[in-house]
Amino acid sequence: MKLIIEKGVKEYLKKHDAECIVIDMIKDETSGGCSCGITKKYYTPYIRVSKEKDNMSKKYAEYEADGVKVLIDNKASSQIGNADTVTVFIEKVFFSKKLNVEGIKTIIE
Amino acid sequence: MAMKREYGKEQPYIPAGPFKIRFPFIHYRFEFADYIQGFLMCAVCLGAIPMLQEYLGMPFEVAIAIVVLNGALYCLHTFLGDPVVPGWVTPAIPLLMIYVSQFEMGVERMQALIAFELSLGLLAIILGITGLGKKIVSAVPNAMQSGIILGSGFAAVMVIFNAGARFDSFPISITVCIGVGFYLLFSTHFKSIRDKNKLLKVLSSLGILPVIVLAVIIAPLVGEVPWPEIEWGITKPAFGALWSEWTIFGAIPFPSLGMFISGLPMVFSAYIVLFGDMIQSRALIEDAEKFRGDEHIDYNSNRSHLVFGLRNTIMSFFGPDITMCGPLWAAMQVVVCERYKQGRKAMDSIFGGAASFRFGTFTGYLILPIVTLVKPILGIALASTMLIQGYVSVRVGVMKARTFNDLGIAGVMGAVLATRGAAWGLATGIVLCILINIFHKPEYDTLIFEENKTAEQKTA
Repeated sequence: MKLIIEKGVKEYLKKHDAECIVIDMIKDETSGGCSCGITKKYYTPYIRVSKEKDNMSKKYAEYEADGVKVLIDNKASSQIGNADTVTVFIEKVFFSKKLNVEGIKTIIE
Repeated sequence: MAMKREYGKEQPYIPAGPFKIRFPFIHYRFEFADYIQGFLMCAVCLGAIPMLQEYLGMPFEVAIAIVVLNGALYCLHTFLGDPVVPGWVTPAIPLLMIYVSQFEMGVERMQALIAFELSLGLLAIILGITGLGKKIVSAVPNAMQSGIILGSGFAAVMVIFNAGARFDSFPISITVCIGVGFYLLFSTHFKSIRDKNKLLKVLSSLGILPVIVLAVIIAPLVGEVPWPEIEWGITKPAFGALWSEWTIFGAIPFPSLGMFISGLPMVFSAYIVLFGDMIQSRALIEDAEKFRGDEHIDYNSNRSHLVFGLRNTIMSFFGPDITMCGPLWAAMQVVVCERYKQGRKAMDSIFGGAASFRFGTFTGYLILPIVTLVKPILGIALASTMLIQGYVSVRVGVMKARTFNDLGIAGVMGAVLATRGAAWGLATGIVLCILINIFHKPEYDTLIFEENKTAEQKTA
C-alpha cells in the first residue's frame, strides 16, 4: 500500500498535540429508502487524531509516511491491496479544517 | 433472446452520454424469480396512497395514478444504467408531511410540494453533473447528519402517535402488526432461527409484506376496517384528473419563488438522508461483484444522482409525490444481490434482476384484486412502515454520531426538527455546532465507538 500524507497534516497533528492518526471503520446501516426489510451492515472510514494507547496494535495495523504514524483498523487494512493508495489530507470546511482520507473502501458485512 | 455478454465485461448497452441504455429482453435477460418477488412486494408501495389522501386530500384513484407513475419511473434506473432497485426517501417522509402541513390544504399545499420536489430533483441533477454531492455532505458535521436522521425517526413515530392520528383509528391492528413486524425484522431470537428454516428465511426476505398480509386478516376481524371488497380487472388510475386538478398543467399555478426558498431546508435535509444510500448502493454492488467474475458492474453515483434527480423532477410536474424518489430500496437490493451471488444461472446480470423486480411491482399496481384486497388496510400498512422506519432512523441516527457531544447536539436538533420542521431543526443544529465545537479541540472529544471498543476489549 502507498500512503500519502499531504501538506498540512503534520501541522494539524502538532496543533492538536497528537501522536498519530487513527482510521476506524465505523458501522452504519440503511439511512434512506424504505428500510422495511433485512439490510446489511456496512463500515465506512472515520479519521481522527490520537495519542498512542496500549492495545492499539491488536485493533490497528501501523503505517508510516513522512514521519506521520497512521493506524488503520484491521478491518480496512486487510482489504487494502499492495497497489492501492491511501491519502490523508486536510479538508477546509467553511472556516475550519479537518482531516479526511481517500482510498479506503466501504466494507459490507 | 437477450444480447450475450463477454466474460468479465459489462452487460451490453447503448451509450448515451452519462447513461448506458439497456432495453429489457434485448440487453438483459428477464429474471422470473425477481419479478415474482417484486410482484409480491407491490403492496408495500401502495402504502403511499393513504399519505396522499390524508396530507394532500387526493381521491384514491388519483393517488394510485401517482403510485403507478412512480412505479414506471422506478424502471428508469436500470434503463439508464444504474444497477439498483430504487425506492422512496422514506426517513424524510414524516418531515415532508410536517412541512407541507404548514400550508393550507389544497392549491397552496400542492404548490409547496411541487416546489420542494422540483428543487430536490434539480439539486440531484446539478450534483450529479458536478460530482459535488460527497463534498457537500462531508461539509455537514456528523452531529447535524445524526440530528436530521434522528429527527426523522422521532417525526415518523409522532405522525402515528399524535393525539387523533392513525394509532387512535387502528389501535389493535397497529399494535399487533407492528409487534410482529418488529419481531421479524429486529429480534435477535428470530435472527438466530431464520437461517435454520427455509420458510423463515423466505419470510425474512419479504420485509414488511408479512405485516401487510397480517393486517388484511386482523384489522377486519377486530372491526377496525371493513372486509375488503375484491374487484376483478385492471386498475384504472385517474391520470386525467391527476394532471388537470393536481399539477401545474391544470389547476395548480406554478409555485412562487418564496415557496422554493422556504422549501430549501427540507430539500437539504432530504438530501442528507438519501446520501447514505449512495454509499450503501456502491458497497452492496461491489460486494456482489466479488462473487461473480463474469460481469463487470459499473456503478456510478453521479449517474445515480442524475436518474433520481430526473425522477423527482418529472414527478414534480406530472405527479407530485410525498414519498419522493430515492436512489435505493436497500432491503430489496440486498435480496437481488444475494440471488446474484448464487451465479449466472440464478441471475445472468444484475440489471436483469433489478429491472425484473421493478417490473413485478409495476405489474402488481395494475392488478385490481391486489389493490382492492389491501385498500382497507393501507392506513395500517403506512403506520407500520412509519414505525419501522422510525425505529431504524433512531438507530442509524445514533450511529452517525462520533462523539458524545455529537449525540447531544443530534438529540436536541432532532427533537426541534420533529416538532418545528426542517428550518428550525437545521438552525438549531448550526447554532449548537458552533457553540459546542467552536475552535474544536479533538483531543478533548469523548468518542462513542472508542468506549464500545474498550468495553469489548475488557470482555475479551
